[in-house]
Amino acid sequence: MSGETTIQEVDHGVSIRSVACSSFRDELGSDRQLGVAVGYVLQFMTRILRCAIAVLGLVQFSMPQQDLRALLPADCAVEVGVAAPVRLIEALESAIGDLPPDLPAAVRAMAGVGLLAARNWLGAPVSELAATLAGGGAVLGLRRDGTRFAPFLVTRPAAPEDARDWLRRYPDVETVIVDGLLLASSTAAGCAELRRGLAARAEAVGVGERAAAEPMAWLEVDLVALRDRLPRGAVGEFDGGQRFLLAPAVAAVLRGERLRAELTGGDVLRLVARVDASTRGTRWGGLLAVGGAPRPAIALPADGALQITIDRSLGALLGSPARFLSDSDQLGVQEFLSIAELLAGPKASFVDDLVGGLQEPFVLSVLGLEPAEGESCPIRLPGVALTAAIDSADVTVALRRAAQVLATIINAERLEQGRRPFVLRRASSEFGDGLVAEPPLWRGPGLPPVEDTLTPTLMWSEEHVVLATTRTAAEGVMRRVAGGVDGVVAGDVITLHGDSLARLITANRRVLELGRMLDEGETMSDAARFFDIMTAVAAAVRSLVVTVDYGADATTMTFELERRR
Amino acid sequence: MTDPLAPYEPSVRDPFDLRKTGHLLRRAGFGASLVIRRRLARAGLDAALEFVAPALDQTPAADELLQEAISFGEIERVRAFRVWLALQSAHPLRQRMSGFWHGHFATSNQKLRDPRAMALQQATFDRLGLGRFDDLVLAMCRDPALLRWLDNDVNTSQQPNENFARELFELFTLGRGHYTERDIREAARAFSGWHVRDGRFYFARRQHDDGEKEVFGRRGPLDGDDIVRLCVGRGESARFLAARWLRFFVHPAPEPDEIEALARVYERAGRDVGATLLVLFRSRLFFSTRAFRSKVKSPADFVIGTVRSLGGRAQPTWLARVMASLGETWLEPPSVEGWRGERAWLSPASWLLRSNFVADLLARRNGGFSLSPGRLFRGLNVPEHRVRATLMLLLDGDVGEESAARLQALAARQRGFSERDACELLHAAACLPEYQLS
Repeated sequence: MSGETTIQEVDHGVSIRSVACSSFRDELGSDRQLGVAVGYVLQFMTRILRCAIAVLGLVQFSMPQQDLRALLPADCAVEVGVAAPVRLIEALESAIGDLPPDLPAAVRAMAGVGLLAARNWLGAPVSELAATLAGGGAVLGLRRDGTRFAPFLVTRPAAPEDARDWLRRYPDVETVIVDGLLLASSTAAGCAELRRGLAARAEAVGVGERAAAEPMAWLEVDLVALRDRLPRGAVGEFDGGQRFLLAPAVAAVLRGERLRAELTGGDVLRLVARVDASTRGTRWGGLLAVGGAPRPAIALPADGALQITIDRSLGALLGSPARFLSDSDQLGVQEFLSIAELLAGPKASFVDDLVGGLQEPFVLSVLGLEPAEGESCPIRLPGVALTAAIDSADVTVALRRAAQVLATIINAERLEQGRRPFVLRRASSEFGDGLVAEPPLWRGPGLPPVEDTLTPTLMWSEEHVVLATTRTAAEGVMRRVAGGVDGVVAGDVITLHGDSLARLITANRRVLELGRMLDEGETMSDAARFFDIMTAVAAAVRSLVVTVDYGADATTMTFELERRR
Repeated sequence: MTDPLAPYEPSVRDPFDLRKTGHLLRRAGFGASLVIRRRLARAGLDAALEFVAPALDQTPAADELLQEAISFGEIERVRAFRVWLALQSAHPLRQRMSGFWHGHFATSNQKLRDPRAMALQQATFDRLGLGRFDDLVLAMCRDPALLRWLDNDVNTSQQPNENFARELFELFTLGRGHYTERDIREAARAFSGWHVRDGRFYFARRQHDDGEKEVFGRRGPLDGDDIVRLCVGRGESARFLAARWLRFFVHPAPEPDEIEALARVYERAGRDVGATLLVLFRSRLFFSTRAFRSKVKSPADFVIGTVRSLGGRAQPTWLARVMASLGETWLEPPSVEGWRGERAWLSPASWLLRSNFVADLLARRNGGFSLSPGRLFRGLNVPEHRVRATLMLLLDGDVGEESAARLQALAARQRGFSERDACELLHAAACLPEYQLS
C-alpha cells in the first residue's frame, strides 16, 4: 500500500495504474521486488508517453499557419487564416471589452438575449466551439470558379469528429478527417484535392517554420485574379470630394497585385491592410501634398474630439482641376474660383498666392467644447480649427484682405435679411495677430441661431496660420504651435477621442435627435435610444486612429481601436 | 326645415364603420393605420373624435424642439419639422388646423427669407389655431412674418401702406364685398407703426397715426386691436369662416344653408374654432354621402396620408421634398391667397409624380420607409384576400366595382407572392382614382 500512496502523491493521474501495479506485485508473490521495479518502469514509460503526447499536442496547436496554408490549392484568389482561434477570440474580447456600462438597460438586455441566442445557435460558447472546430488553427481559401467561388477549408480541430458533426448542419459541405486535420469543401472533389495537397506537402513543410511571424489572423487577396471583379472605374465614378479624399488609396488597390490584411488583438485592436502598389508618381498621386513623406504636425489635445491631417494638396486640385475632376466638378471649381479670386483681390491669386503661400497639408482639429456663456444656442459646437504652416508672413496680407472681403459679403447678406452684421476686430496676443468677427448681441425671439454664437477668427504668427470657428479655439491652437510642433506623421492620419465625442453628443443631444427624427423619420424615443447607444459606445472608446501610408512600394492602411479600461 | 348640422346618430342601418372612421381621420387629420382605424371603428364616434382632438395633447415636446429646428436657420429643416409633426402628432386636428391657417394667413418664406419667423408663425397656429378666432387674429396682427409679408413694417402715419389692412378684410376675416375702400384706408392708418424689430413685433409709437378714424361706421382713435374686434364680430366674418371650413373639411361647394348653420354654431360657441369644428365633425352633413371622397387630396394628404395609412415611418425631409414636387411647398404658398387646391392639385404630370412617389416609397428606393410591404400580407395566401387587404389598408375597403376588378385581375396574374408583388398591388391601389380623393 505504501507504493500506492507514494505514486498517488506524485501524480493523481496514474492512481489507477498504481492499483494495477499493486495487484501485479501480489500475483508475483516472492518476486515482489522485481514486480515493484517493473511497475515503476511501466509508470515511467507511461509518463514519458503522456508527456510526449502533450508536447506533440502543444506543437501541433502552435504550428504555423503557413503549414496549413500550404495545403490550400495554389490558385486560391482569397485566403484567410487564423493561427489560434481561441487566443484570437480572447484577444478580441480583451480589445473590445465588456458592453459599455452606460448602455441603456434595454439595449444591454437585448445584447444579452442576442448573445444567448447566438450561443444557442452555435451550440456552445464561442471559445469552446472555436477550439472544437479549429483549436490548432484554420485556413480558408476561395478559388475562382467561373462567376462563383469554390471554398476550401482546412482546420486543425481539438475534436475532429465533433467538428465534423457540427459542420453536418450544412448539407452542402463535404468533410473528411485526415491525420487530425479537418478538410472541407463544397464538393467531394474539393475535399479530394485538399487531401492530395496534404499528401504532397506533408514532407515538404517544416514544423515551427516562420511561427514567430504569424499574426493572429490574416487575409490575402490575389488582386490580379479578381481584377475583372473589381470596380476598375470606381475612381471615375467618385464625385470631386471623394476623388480628393479617396482616390490615392483606392487607385493603389486597383493597381496592386496582392493585398494582405493582418489582425491583432490585446490592449489595442489593430488591423493592418497592405497593398503592394504605390500611387506615387501616378495621376492620383498628384493629389498628395508631400508624396507620403513624413512631416511635422501638432497632436490632438487630450480634450479634442477629432483631428484630420491628410496628405492632400488643395493647390494641386484647384491648380489643375482638369487632371483630377469630372467636367461638372470642374465647372464647380471654376465657379468657386471666380468668387475666391475676388476675395483674394486684384493683386493676388487665390490659388497661387493664398493657397500656394500655405504649406500643405493642413491640419483640421475638432477641439473640445467651450464653456457656454449666458443664454446659448441649442447647438454647442466645438471649436474647429484649420492650421497650416507658412513660408513667410507675406501670405498673411492676402489672407487678411480675403477675410475682410468675405466678412463684407456676409454682412451685406445678413443686412438684406434684416439681421445685424458681424463686427470685424483686430486681435493680438502673445502668440500672434489676427482678425475676429464678433457676432451681434442676440435680441431676437428665442435662442440665438448657431452662426450668432461663433466668433470666426483668423490668426497668424511668422510660422503658422489658423482659421477657427471661435477666438478661443484659434488662440488655443496658436499657443500649441508656439510651444513647438514635435509630432511627426506620414500619409493620412485621422485621430478620434471617444470621450470627447461623447461629450459633444451629450451637449447637442436634442439637435442630433431632431436630425434623426427629420432625416430618418424616427420617433422621439427611438432617436433618444440611438444616441444613448452612440454616447455609451463613444465613451467606451479611448481612441481610434486610422492611418494611410503612401509608401514608395506599397500603400498601407492601419486601423487601431483602444478601449477605455 | 332640417338642421344640416344635426348630429349623426349611429344606427344598425347606418353604423359608424371603417369607412366613416377613415373619412373622419383623413379630413380631421392625416389618416391613420388600419389597426387604429379598426380599433376606433369598434370604439365609436366619441373615441374617434377623442383620437383626432384629445383633451390632453401629448405630442412630444414640440415647443422645445422648435428651438432646435430653427437653430440652423434652414427653411428645409423647418419644413421637415412640420412634416414630422403631421406624421407623429398625438393631436392630428391641431396639425390639420395649422395647415388650414397656413393656407388662410398665407405667408411665404420666398419673400421673407426668414425661417425663424416662419417657424414661429406656425407655432402660433399650433398654439391658437383651435382657440378663439379673435385671439388668433390679434396674434397674427403682431406676427413678424405676416407683418413683413404684407409690408406693414413700412406702414407709417406719413406713408400709410394699405396692403395689410386690405388682406385682413378680404382674405383673413370678411371676404370680398363686405367693406369699402374707405374702410381699408382708415384701417391702414390704425395699423401704422405696427412694425418688426429684431424679429419681434414692435410698436413704433412715433410712426403710428393716433388720429380719429372711421371703420364700419365706428368712429374714434382706433388702433389695430379695435379693427380686429370690429372685423371678427361681424356676421359676415362668421359666414366667411364657415364657408372656408366647410370647403376645407366637408365639400368643395357647400350650400348656403350649411354655411349659415355653421356660422350660427361658431357664434354660439363664442367664436371658438375647436368647439365649432367638433360640432361639424359630429354632424350628419360631415358623414353624408355628398361629403365622402368629394375632395381631391392635397399633396400633403396624399404623401403623409399614405405613410400613415400603411402604418410605417418615412423620412420627413424626403416627404417634404416630394410634396414640393407635387405643388405644395409648405412655408412657400404661391400667393397671399394660399393654394387653390381641389382640381388644381391634379394634372397629368402630378398624377405621374404621385404614382412614382408611392412606387419609390414601397420599393424603399427613397425615403427610408420602415415597413416591408410584404409583411402587410403575411398569412394571406389567396389573391382575393390580398386584394381585400390592400383595399382596406388604403381605401377602407370602399371602392367601386371597376377598381376592385382591376386589382383582382392584377392579383390573379401574380404567380406566388413576392415582396415585389406586394409593392405592385399597393402601388396599383394608390393609383386608383378613388385614392386621389379624400
